[in-house]
Amino acid sequence: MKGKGKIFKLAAATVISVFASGIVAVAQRTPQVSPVRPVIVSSTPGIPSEKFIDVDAKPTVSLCVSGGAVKVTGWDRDEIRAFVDGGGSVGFKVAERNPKTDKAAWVFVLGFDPQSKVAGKTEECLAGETIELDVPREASVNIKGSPEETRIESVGKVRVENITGNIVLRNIGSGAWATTYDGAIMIERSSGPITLTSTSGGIVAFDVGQREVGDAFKARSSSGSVTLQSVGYRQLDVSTISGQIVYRGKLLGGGQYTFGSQNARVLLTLPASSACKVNAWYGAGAFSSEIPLQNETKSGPGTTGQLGKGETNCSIYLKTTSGQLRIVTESPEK
Amino acid sequence: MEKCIDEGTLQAFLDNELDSGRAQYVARHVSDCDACADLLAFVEEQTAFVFGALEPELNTLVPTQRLWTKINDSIESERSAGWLQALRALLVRLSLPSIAAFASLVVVAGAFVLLISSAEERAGRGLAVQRSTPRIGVIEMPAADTVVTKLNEEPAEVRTVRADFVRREPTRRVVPVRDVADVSSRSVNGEETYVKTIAKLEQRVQQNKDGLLNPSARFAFEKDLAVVNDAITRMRGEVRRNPKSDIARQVLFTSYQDKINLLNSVNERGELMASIR
Repeated sequence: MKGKGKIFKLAAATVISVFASGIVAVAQRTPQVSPVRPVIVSSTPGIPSEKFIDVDAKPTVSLCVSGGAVKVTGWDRDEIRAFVDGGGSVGFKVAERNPKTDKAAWVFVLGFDPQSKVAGKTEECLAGETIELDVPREASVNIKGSPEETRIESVGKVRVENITGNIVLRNIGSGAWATTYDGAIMIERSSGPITLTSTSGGIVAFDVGQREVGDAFKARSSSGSVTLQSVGYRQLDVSTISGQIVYRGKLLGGGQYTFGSQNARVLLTLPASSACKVNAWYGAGAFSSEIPLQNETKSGPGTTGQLGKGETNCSIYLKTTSGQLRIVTESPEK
Repeated sequence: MEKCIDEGTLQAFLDNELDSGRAQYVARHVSDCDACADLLAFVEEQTAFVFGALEPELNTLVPTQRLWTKINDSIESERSAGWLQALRALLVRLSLPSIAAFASLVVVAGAFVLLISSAEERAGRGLAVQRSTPRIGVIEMPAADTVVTKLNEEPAEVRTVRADFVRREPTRRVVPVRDVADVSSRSVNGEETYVKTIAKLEQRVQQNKDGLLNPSARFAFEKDLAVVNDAITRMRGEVRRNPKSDIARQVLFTSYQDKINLLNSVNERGELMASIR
């Protein structure tokens, strides 16, 4: 019996050792799993992120925004302050430096901090309930994305391209280019070349003017209306498809003013003393002017003539396929 | 101011029936004269309408003439086949001795008659040439260049049926107008570029608009597209009615540009969305 028991023990030990060596071999072949990295949220919810960077006096600031309201304001410091509340982190990436001052001349504001040694999300677009940037007054600001609203104030140049959201621009010194595919655009107290495009929203501009001779103002909306007041440009091009155009203000000598709408009303409210050549083509629509036209010539659905008396070298081109073209006088009480 | 061109001359111009000098005069005059340009457009529309309506009939004329040609050829071949049969029967009969003797007698007599007649023919050859002249004159009568060329190539095969077939060729009206630069300017120059661009953009928009536009944006887009399409249709009609109106042309091009901008807005929106993802 003892002999049998020994044999049994020996066999059992052999089997166990074979199994154990197999398990060890399998374990050795399996790749070593690295320890799980802790996912570090860049910004603790409820705690805002804020960063500063020294920059050139006229830097270019570029950012992408995936949500929230953006507010960019010019200030009298050569630094950028970025603040995000109720969202992700914020950081800067310097794309170019001024060789003379070695200060950042082109800065990207990112949704993460590339300087941080802590691993985390690398979202390029900023996101948060409130996104605020303070930049030098002469800065050029480039924004693209889908913020709920974009407000930019007291900076040099602006370039905004948004999928959604309204754009409000104030006190822009050297020109603005703004496009929104679903929202309205408002610009005031600004100068320089201006191009505004909205697909479905309206466009409002007032107290804007050229900074240099040759600066142009262009506004285009598909279904929104365009309202312009005190717009001092010699090159003005405004067009809509189904939105009405309202212009109220003076005409400058040597100016070329073009207003076109496919089927909506174009209304120009001008001082009674205005003098300008008028070239109106109204297809199936109509044309009328409270200011008498001198040397009026009608050719089919078109009228040409000179608005007011006296020598003039400015021209107004009015075009519509089936809308109404109207010129009315600006009364003092209006 | 030159005198206006009558409708018949314009019709002949469209049918390419005027000589080159006259055609150039008409083209030049039409480019300067609105009334004649309108009349030409009217005649062209009328001709297009008539040709459109008669197209099936015109197309059936061609096989009919071909059929006649075939029938004539068949008759000719039948006739030649009949002569061969007669010759074969004659040879069979000549194999009989009596007939062979009679035939040899006839051959000798025939040779004698031939000698006498050839002597007479040499004497009166000038008269024979004069007799053939009128027949040549009859053949050269058709005025159309194409017909004369055919006759020169194959004088022996010319038949009235073939000449008629050439003259009725319906494709001839495709040739005119386009060769004359002045008249081609009546079509809206540059329109093709816009149309091609719009076709490409529309294709992209059709593929992407469902994913890019929310319902309200889609509604606004479709509404504006309908407005622009309506404007383009109106303006094309206006430019056709009044081809010399530069302002009408400008408004047409502006409408095309509006459509391009509208379609572009959808595509650019898509590109922006892709760039921030």
